[in-house]
Amino acid sequence: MRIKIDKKPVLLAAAALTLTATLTVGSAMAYFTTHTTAKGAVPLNIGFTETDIEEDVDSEGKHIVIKNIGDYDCFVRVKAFSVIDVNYESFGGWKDGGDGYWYYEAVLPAGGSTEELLVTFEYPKNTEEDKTEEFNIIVVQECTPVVFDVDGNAVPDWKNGISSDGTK
Amino acid sequence: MKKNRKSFPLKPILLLSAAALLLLGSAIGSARAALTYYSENYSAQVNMSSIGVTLLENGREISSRNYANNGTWVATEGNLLENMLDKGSKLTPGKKYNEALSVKNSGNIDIFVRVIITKSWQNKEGQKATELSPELIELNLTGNGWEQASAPSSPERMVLYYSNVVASGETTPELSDTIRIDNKIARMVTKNVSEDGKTIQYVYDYDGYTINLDAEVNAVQANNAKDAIKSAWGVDVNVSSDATSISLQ
Repeated sequence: MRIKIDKKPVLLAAAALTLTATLTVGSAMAYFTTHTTAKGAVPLNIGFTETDIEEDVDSEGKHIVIKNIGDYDCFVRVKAFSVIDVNYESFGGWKDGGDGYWYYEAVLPAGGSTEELLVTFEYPKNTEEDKTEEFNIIVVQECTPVVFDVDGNAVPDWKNGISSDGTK
Repeated sequence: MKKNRKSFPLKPILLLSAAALLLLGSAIGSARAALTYYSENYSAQVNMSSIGVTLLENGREISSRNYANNGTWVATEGNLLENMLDKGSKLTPGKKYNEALSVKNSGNIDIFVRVIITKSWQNKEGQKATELSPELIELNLTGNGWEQASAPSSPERMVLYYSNVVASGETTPELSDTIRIDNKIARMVTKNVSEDGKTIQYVYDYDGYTINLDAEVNAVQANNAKDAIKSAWGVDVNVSSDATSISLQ
């Protein structure tokens, strides 16, 4: 004897079960979440500064002061060229780099001036005529921007030095 | 005259009734569950239902989003890097600036959190400068319980997961401590020599460009963390047996 099954109620029951199952899945996916965001921007305002050399010559020698006339901090160094021998005397802050340059050790802030560096010279003592001759002492000054190394120390970057000279 | 009586099949009616009863039963069940849920929610709302998260920069609250009640949220959004420079000072390549980012649980349930950091450059015209590497913007990560995901992370985008559960009111350790622009950018210059050859000047190629830092904090409930994190973030994690920490798979 075959039992005849009516399809409609079976389908209805299946639909009811599916609906119930869907309800269960829905509640399982409701997790508490939240989020927040923030943004920020800073302009990179970097540039090279400009320095000016002040030179006064008297019987002692050549008095050199470098002034930072630009908008950015920098490091400076100077070197003197002449046909006669010259020596340097620091009035504070200057140090012989051993490479022909004298370095101002501190950062020269925008608008600031270095301590004085005196370049002295002696006339050759061979003849009286030598004393009457004129000699040029050319001072080359260079400045470079302040950068910071990985340890956070302010250091010069002499690969990007700006140079100008003064002759008296 | 013989009445044409319609016979109702008993079996389908019974089956239909059973299905209707089942449906009704499940509905009542849900209703009861919902009633219980809301009842508990109501009586212990402060302790149970409020999720919230706050981003901190150098200890200062920057932005937040906290659940209030009845489906409403209270959100704030501030700006990063606002106090990075001292007044009147300029961003200097190589110099380290404080940038300590951390996350506070400002809700009332325990949470797991992650932070997505995006670094980029913008040129003077305000467009994204793709010629400059985001790697030149160095956000120094501390570790400190924060694990960087390798897969979706890139020089531009980092995804950091805090491995421990953050309890209500608690703040994570800082994920970063400093931000720095690589010195390399100070060497990207153009050389100009004066006509008399006496003066050499350099111009920075990227002067006027802008560094951008974006941070997105995501939080998810600590309860049932594995499924919750998979559902919310699409990430598979391992959860410790005491459910207080996670690790990336």
